[in-house]
Amino acid sequence: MSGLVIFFGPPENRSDDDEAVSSFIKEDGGKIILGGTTSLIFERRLKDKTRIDLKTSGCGMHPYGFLGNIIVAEGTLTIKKLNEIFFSEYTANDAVKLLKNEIMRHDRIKIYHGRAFNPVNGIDKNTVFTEFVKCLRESGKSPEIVNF
Amino acid sequence: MVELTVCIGTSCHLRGATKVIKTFQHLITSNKLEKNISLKGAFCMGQCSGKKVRVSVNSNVFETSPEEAEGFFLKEVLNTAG
Repeated sequence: MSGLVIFFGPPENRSDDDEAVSSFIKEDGGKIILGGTTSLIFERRLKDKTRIDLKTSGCGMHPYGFLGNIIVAEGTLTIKKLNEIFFSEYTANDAVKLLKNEIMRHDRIKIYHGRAFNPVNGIDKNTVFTEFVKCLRESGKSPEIVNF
Repeated sequence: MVELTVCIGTSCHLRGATKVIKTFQHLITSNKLEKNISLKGAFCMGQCSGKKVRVSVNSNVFETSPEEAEGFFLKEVLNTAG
């Protein structure tokens, strides 16, 4: 069985960053990091920079990049859009489409759910995540969730 | 080579980061500055508390908006690019 591991959002306690990152890196299978702050945590740990493909950053699109061979994208808005189109056609060649394709082509989904949130942008990240898990289950996936 | 980086994290995305990028891309192309300016994106600059989109020119951090992006480019980026 093929596996996909998604790291969504930074850990609630910064003291858990190292453990969460180490555990995620050791996982087998495809990997996706979602969230700007989360990507910074990984950049510091991996001593590397995310390279973003600006061709995926057009108006209304959700950009993505790579940190080594790990896919990286903005978190909450990307998942919010994915929830909206999960059971429909989506043509934009961006992070939403890439994430959906990766989820659909893997049998096993594991999510590292970081419960910290950024109060500045005012988005209810928990509701977005709950809806995401619901979509996964309705599509026949049984995601394993690890909370940090 | 000037390194021009636009934050496209959640907060900056909501403030119009993709429109700022589109403006910069147009200005770089129309002024034939592809060899002088390297336009990049970042998912977080660690400074979400501003009201506008975070942008860095080399290592100096500024903020701009879709409406102000062209003026910002002419003032801050072209000056740096010489």
